[in-house]
Amino acid sequence: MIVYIAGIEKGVVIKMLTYIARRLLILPIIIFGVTLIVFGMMMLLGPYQRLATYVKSPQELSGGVDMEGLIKKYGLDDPFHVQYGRWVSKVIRGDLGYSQAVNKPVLEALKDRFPASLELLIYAAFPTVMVAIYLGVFASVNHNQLWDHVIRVLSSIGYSMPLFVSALILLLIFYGILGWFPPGRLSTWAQSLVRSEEFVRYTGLNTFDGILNGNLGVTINQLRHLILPIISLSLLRWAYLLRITRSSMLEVLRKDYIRTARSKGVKENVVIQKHARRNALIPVITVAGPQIIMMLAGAVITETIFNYSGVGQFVKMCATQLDYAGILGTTMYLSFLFILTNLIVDVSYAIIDPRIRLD
Amino acid sequence: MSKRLASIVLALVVIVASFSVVAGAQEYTVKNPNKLVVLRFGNAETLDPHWAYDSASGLHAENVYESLFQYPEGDVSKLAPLLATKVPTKENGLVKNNGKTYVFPIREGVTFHNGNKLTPEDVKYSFMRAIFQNRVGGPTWMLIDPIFGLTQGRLENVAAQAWDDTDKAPSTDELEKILKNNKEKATELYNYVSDHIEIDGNKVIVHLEAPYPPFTKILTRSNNYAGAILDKEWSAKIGAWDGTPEDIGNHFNPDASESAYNKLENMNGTGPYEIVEFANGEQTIWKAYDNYWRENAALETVVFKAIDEWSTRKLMFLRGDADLCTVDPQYRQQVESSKEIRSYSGLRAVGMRSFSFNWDINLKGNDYVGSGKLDGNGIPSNFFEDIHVRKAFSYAFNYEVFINEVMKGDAMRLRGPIPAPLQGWKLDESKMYNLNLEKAKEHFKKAFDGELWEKGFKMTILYNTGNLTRKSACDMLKTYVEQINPKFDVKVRSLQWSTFLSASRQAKLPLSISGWAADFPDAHNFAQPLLHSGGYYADQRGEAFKEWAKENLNPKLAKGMKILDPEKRKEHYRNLQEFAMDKAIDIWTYQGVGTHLERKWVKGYYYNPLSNGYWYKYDKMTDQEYTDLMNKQSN
Repeated sequence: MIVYIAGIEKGVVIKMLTYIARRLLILPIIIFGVTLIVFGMMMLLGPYQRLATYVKSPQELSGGVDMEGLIKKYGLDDPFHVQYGRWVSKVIRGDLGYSQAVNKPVLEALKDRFPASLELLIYAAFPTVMVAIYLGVFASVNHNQLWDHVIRVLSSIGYSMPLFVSALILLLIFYGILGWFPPGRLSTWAQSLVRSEEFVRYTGLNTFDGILNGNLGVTINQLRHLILPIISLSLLRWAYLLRITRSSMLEVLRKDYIRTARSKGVKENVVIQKHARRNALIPVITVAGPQIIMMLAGAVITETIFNYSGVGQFVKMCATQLDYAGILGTTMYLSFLFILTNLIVDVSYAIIDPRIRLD
Repeated sequence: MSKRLASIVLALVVIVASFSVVAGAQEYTVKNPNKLVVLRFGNAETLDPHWAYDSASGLHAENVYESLFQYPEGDVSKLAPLLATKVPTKENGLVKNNGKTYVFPIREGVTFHNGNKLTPEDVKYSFMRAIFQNRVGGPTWMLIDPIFGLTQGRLENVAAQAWDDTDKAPSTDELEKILKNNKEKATELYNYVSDHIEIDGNKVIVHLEAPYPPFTKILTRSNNYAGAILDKEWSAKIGAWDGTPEDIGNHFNPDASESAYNKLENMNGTGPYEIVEFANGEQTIWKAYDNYWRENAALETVVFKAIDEWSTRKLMFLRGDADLCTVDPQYRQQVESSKEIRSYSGLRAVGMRSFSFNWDINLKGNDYVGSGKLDGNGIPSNFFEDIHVRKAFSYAFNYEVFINEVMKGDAMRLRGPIPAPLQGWKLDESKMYNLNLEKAKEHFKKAFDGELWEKGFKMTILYNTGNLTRKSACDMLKTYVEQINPKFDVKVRSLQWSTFLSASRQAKLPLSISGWAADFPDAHNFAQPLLHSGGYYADQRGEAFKEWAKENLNPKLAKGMKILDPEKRKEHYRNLQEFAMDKAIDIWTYQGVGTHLERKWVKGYYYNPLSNGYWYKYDKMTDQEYTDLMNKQSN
């Protein structure tokens, strides 16, 4: 059985596993390299500047803050290697530090917020990719016809409109005027319910946990709160992926082997779906992976406008308050995700296109 | 045909008329009738009241914990009993020994949220816990100063007193080590503090080292929680200070994360609400405490949502999904026009903003002083030490236009370091500076014996990035100063907050806007940090100011704390106000005036300038009451 896995030869499978293992082994080195760079950049700020993590506004100065005392207390004037070493030794013990922005350990803050971002990602990413691919293929097949023009115009609008503009317009129309889809992750009653002891958190994703707890009200409430962030987040990426898919398909459809397949009497549907689309997807996959991760990591604007308590909102809080524990913690987390995603993308190439070798 | 037509027309008329009737007597519904939803922004640093020194943390503590006194319906000139049954005065005999002894009779029948009864031991424990915790940058100096006769004192100074070693107080780190490792010294310190706070039956008696007239104000429920009362038994159970000398070192100067009271499940006060849910930066939910010692709060639930994005807050407020909302002044018009929103304006904040002169600028690596010399290409270190320079700048600011046009009327003239309505604030207007370029010119010509006028100067005024109000103030000063003499060159620059903080601390800012907000409503709370040689602003103004203040201000400040008669204190601080204005120590610019916005179905609001948000008196109209109000308004 192991000889063939999903139609892939044994040799290729072994190569793939070796490749994956190598990438995973260098993962920690890459992550620490990234954090060293970020830590170094933060250390370009002097101790009094980094004190802004603890003294957040001019109003707090009014309280007579003892700046020297705070600098000494938090070791902000210790040498670089001491501060970095202190941080690394904590990380190795699983302690990413304490976030002053949200007043809890960074790891706990990320754990609390990750499910929200993941839930948004699941409902935003896969439909986005699927719809973009479908419409991109459809547009390319109907090249220069009415539907192609319509789709291209819509994608141009989606691609051109800044995210904060589309988000605010959606919020104004669908919440401000119509009252259909409120901001926030859940309504107050639902939030209290999911935080109560009676509600079991199986997955951390409210839509699934609502079903698993037999409380469809929570599921519906979560979906209601997800709709606007999903649309807002997907719009830009959908448009971008659609354009890539369409261009790629058009190029593939001009290839000789497609002409050959058609001349041999292969059904057009088979030509498109089996022969053309698969090859056209390679560049799409290349960009889709990072785009999905950008949704997870970079939904700062979306989460802020819709008051959706995910990782993006946390990143924003840490950045604006110079919370370096939070910044470093989220940097590590995002680095890990990017590397993992790139790994999945690379492996996906081999599955989709057997010509690609993982040497 | 005509009959049919007439019937149709008649029917239409009836339909339209019925719409009119319906429109005229519209039904209105109050959303969330038993719940108050509050929208603001900001994260709480802590849930521990003795650690808290920011408004977001204060908001969380204020409804859960109580102090001995309160301000009656927001009148900060008076005190009313809360957990104490009487406000101590000389007249009622509860202030004795020339203002050095205060007697607090403690109320009976009060329970904490865990059901434990409030006792005088809890009060003593709470004061001692606050004193021993004394985290760096925290609020408990407000207890230490009056009790131990210090000025912005720390536990290190108290320890030096306890160990008879006042020449050299230990450092914070040294004290922590001593308290953890030296049982004898820890016990000595414990006994010293304990001796100042006595229990006699149901009374707690506090002995001060020196008279401190505003002492009771520090123990008042407001925006400072140094006086918050905790349950001693509960504290020991949850791992807070257990009340023994040996344990002091384990709880001295903790991080926010190290404080046991920073956990939701450990909160336990006597206040009208308990926090049942706390997701910092997202949402907090309070529930009314069923066994509150006064009448229970009218509203069962209060929900606070932290929403940074103004558009989102605005839409929720306009839709009625929120009852109270923080609105920045520049956005107020967007919501005030709604017929369903009520605004209370002209609410004086007990705080002040001024341009602070640096009398002793640190020239090292300083980009804001040009050449650093009085050569026409910069300013020297002692530029603002010359009173004529300070007076000239004070005459070169258009206070009225700034308040009316920039602040849109949300401010009032500051008459010195002491804002309204505190003792002595009301300096005669004739003694204040107004825009007068001729007088400014006169003083510039006198400055540095005429050398400044001949040579001119170059300098930069700074503000923290994003603060447009401060930017406008700086631009205004620049405009008028440069008009006086073409050789005067003033630049305005913004700095990121972190950089501003750093530059400020290193005394590199020649002139910057800063401010002070009240910890407790007494003139001393402003006079001391702003004018004393050891006050908070002294470092920013440099050694030259400190030397001058030692001789010219410190004696006045010390005298103010010895005057117990309220009228005499008022007169004394008014004289101090005049002195500070005359010497142009700062450009005393403005005092903020705020606006409170709420949905019209909300009842019970009253203004307390020192409150971060107190839900106890809030209530909501019924649907009928609200309908009647709105229909009356329409008619």
